[in-house]
Amino acid sequence: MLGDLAEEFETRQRAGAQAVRWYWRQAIRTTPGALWRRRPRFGNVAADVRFTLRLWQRHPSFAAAAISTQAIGIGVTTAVLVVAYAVLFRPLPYADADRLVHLFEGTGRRGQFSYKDFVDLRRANRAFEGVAAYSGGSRTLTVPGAPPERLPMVAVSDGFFEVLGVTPALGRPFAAADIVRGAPPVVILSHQAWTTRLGAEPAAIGKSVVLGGVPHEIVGVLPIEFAFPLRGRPDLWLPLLPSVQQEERGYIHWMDVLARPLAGLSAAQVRADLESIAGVIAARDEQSHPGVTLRSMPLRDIIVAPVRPTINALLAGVVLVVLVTCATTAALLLSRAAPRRRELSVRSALGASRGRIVGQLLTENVLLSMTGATFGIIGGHWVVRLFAAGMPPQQRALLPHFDNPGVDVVVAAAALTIAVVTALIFGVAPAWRASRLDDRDTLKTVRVTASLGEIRLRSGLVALQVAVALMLLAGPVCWRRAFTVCSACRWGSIPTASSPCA
Amino acid sequence: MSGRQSYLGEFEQVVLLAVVHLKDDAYGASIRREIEERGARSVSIGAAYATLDRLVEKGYLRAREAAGGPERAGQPKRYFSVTPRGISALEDARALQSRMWHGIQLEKGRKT
Repeated sequence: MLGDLAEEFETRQRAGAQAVRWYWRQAIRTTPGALWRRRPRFGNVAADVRFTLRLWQRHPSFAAAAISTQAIGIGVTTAVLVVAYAVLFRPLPYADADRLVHLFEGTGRRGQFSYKDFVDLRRANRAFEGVAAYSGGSRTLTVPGAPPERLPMVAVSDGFFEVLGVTPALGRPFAAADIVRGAPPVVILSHQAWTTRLGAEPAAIGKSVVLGGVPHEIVGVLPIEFAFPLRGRPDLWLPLLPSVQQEERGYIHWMDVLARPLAGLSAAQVRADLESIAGVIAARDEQSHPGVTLRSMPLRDIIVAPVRPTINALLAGVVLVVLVTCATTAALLLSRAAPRRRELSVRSALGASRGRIVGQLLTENVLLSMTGATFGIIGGHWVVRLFAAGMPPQQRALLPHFDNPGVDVVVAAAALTIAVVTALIFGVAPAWRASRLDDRDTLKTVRVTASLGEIRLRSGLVALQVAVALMLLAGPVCWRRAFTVCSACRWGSIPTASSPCA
Repeated sequence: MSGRQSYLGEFEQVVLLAVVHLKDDAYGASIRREIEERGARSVSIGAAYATLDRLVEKGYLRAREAAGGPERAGQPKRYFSVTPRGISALEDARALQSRMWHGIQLEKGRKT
């Protein structure tokens, strides 16, 4: 067809008959149909798949080596993707979680607020539909028939669960009347505390438990999916009641504050409102709050800040692992190119086009990758679960969605896509080289050996594998200090350029 | 006439007849020119090749490759020739046309 176009173009050009216009009109009208007629036929793919499976039966050691290489590489990739997706991307278990922010006061230790500053913030703000405070600690729970047990606790202001958009599975959240000095003590239990300490008793609401020697009425039980990574895995939720001393202005800053900005407000508008509130606080208490500043940061950023550098490093490492896996697989395929040249020459002599042969080789490559990826995804799923099971529960609770990690549809699809795409990209070169045939000479040759080009390509792949493996080995050594510092990060420290958590 | 079979489409007939006319010189561009000159109709290269490929698949044409010259930018030429099955299909198509036209006298402008 191209030749006909060229020939007619020459003829028309000699006749001065708008040759260029004719040429492009023909090319545009002809190309879609030509591509459609040359589309891959699924009948060919099915035949190639059957042939590949027979090939694996005849060469089980090659198949095992290639599939296990892919399985290990994709398994590592899957495990890291599970962690990265759960921690960095999966939505937090709160309503419209992307809008939630954590507020920081510049004068407070770790950005915390004093009680009076919190009251001023709630009263003076125009940018938030809800502001709530919380503070961590522990209480001793005494249940009849069981020894006293020290449990993690979070005290929260009224409206805390409303700001998060969480409704207790049983009972109710704290009301304003619960958070008044002298009000009857109440408690909300986590789902785990309700099941392990009270046997998931349906009639638990209204009953009492003894905390710190004081009976507390149970008013609510949180849903099973609720998590609060900022404080690990608190079992007890209590009203945030400041002492008389804590109510004094200028006292130590001890409260952490969450807020939900009004829908549609920009970050600049929120910032402007916080600046105005800072002015209100400074005006009322210049002595304790000279040059006070208020800042907000997205809640997710606060939760993942301590682990983000580690996860980023793992993701970078995964890229290198995928590179090594692809190079190893490509080298294995190249090693099979020479022994298969006679078979491919027979196919070519019988009429198979080069494109058909390349298509067959790529089908083999993709099938190999998908088979290895399937094993790798299953293996990666169990590696992550074992790893998470081995972590202390309180440490595990600091990572969102890490209570029961595993491969879901998103991660599986991502891992399969990586396997197929890399199979195509890294399979093209070996396939193209393997399809370069001189039928007559190959068919007459008694023993076919690797060509100089194949040897060079294989050497290049080996060099790539060694280089990447050295980088992977050197990386942890060079990054050891960063890992040490990052793992020592405590949540709540405001990330800055000089902060270790930046 | 053979038994159960598919009849040639109109353009398929035209292409086969052009190949018959051209004898040993039937390739894409020449077939297209033959149809445009004899049939006084414009034919795109794409349409011609789509029909030629279909006729080869049906077994009515056979194709052979030959080297192309500089006027074709070195691209090979694919020559076509009609197979006995293709001849048979043409004869069947003409016989069918003849039977359908038998006894019909059309007058221009007359409603039937």
